[in-house]
Amino acid sequence: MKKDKKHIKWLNGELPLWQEKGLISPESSRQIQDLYGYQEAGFHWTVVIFAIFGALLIGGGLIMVFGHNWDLLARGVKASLAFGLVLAGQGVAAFTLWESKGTAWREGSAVFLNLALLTGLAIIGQTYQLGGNLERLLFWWMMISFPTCYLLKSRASTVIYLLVLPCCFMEFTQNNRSELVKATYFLVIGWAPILWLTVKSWISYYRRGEERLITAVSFLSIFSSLAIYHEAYYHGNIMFAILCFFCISYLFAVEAGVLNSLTLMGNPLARFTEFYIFVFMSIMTFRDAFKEIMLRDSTMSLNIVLVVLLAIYGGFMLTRKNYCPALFALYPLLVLAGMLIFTNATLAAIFMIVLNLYFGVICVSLIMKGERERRLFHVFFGMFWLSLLIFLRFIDSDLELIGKGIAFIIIGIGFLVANIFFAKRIRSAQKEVTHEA
Amino acid sequence: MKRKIIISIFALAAIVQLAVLGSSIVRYENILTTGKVWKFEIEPVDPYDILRGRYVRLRFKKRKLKVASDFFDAEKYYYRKNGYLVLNKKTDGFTEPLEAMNARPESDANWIKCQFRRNYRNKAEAEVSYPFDRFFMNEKLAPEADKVMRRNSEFMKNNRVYITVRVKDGIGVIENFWVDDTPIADFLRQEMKK
Repeated sequence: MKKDKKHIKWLNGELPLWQEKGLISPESSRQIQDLYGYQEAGFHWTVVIFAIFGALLIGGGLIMVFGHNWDLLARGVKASLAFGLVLAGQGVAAFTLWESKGTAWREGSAVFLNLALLTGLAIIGQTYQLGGNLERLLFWWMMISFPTCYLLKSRASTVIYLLVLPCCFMEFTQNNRSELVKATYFLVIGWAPILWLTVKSWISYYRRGEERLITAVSFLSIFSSLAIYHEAYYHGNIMFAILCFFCISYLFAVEAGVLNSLTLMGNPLARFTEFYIFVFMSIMTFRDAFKEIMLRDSTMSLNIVLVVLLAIYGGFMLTRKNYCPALFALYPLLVLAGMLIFTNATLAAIFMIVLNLYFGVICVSLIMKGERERRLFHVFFGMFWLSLLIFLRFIDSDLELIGKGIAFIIIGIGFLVANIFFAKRIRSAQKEVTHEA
Repeated sequence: MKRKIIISIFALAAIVQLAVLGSSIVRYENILTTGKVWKFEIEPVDPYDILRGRYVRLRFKKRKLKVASDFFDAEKYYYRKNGYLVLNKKTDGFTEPLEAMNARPESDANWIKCQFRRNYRNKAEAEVSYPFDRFFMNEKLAPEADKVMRRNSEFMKNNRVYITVRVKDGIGVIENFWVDDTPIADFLRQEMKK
């Protein structure tokens, strides 16, 4: 039997949905999978994206640890640390090039090296008490990091660049720093080819129906960063907009059954809504966000109405067997319960712990589901949000920068190790099934 | 062959990256070792830099000076104008800005590269924007500095708060931050113990 990988990927994506809708039994699903073999859509890109995430966590952690400002360390030691970090980043990048490693390595090592360069520049700035604003530091960082992006063909670094350059440009223009504006034009010209290649590849991938999630998330990030830059977030009640957006995403996601069949590829709207639902759940783990929904006079009644409607909808979903995972269906009910008790300080504190745990349970259930169904994207999606939840709580805590930084590094390393472990495990299970078939 | 070329280019890029970092270190170490020492009186405030950590932003007590009528181009709008500031050491050992110049002064150690803000109300006056405007501190000490100094005008009246800057070839690097001849880190630790 001739096996078309593309169609098998599609079939594998559809099976859980058919199963959840009661069209086929779990046994039939397994038999179909065994007959046609297993090809998870976007397996490769799942590994790549989460390798980048791991590198970002470790790099971010390093920046925090050095941001602590070790005033007991001598200048020479600090300078050596800056050098050592960059050398380590260059070592990993050189290994990647020497061994002609794959995309996950290239992207991960480029992000790590570029963050090491940024940390190095920041340490020197801190050690020698250099003036100048943040944009100037970022400008110099981009100047020395762009060859790495070319050589390692790193799209992630290019996305970071896309976010940073407009900020520098606007700052230099606004403050009439003509010499830096001119230099930024050179930087734009220097980066133009890799920018063009990245945009071109995005367009072609988009046409082929791949990488849509990356495109959507990247553009969303660009718009968000510009909105933050223009201080748009300070006008009006942002939590109301966030809640409205959640309601729309939630209804769409449940109706389209996307929460049952998370994949990296496929309908970009579905990918976006499932991503946004998790963004919302993360925001709600902050007590201040909850308070904003509850105590903002202008929109409080509307917020309550929205959550009540959503809770009723979630209740209906529970009665429609296998249509929406129970943990998601119950979520609006839980939020509603929180709104009812939030005026009591003690109950509110307990509620926030419960809400955090609930989000954690959703993430763990995703990891378990992914492991059971040999779906790497489920596993990593769960791991991603679980890691985010953990380090949001660290950020929120009264820990010093060094504590937070170390937590970031540990989570980042854990993430990379789990990435390798699950990828190997699921890949070998897939091979086994394909071999048997 | 292609891989060898890429690795060679990478090696070159890596050397450039290290050279940028290394040359900064060598340059500032050289200034700190051989530069001439100047004392500037300051009024600190305490902000935060997301990448470099906590720092005390420095407001200089002596930051206004008279400028020649041709220092700013009358037709042009300036946010900040680049120029050279000639420094003067007063009898008490502290520094005051003496003269703003468009051209680089003769080989003398008493000047720094600076930016100047024009005073549009009083065109004969400018405000100096010193290139060393922040002092990075431990994240515990910086808020303490803010508490002790910025919100305490009595303290600023009774104590001399200043920085020492090493200057060489027009570039200044902060050596330390002092409160009455005690390094600020030591001073704040003593304060925190009280």
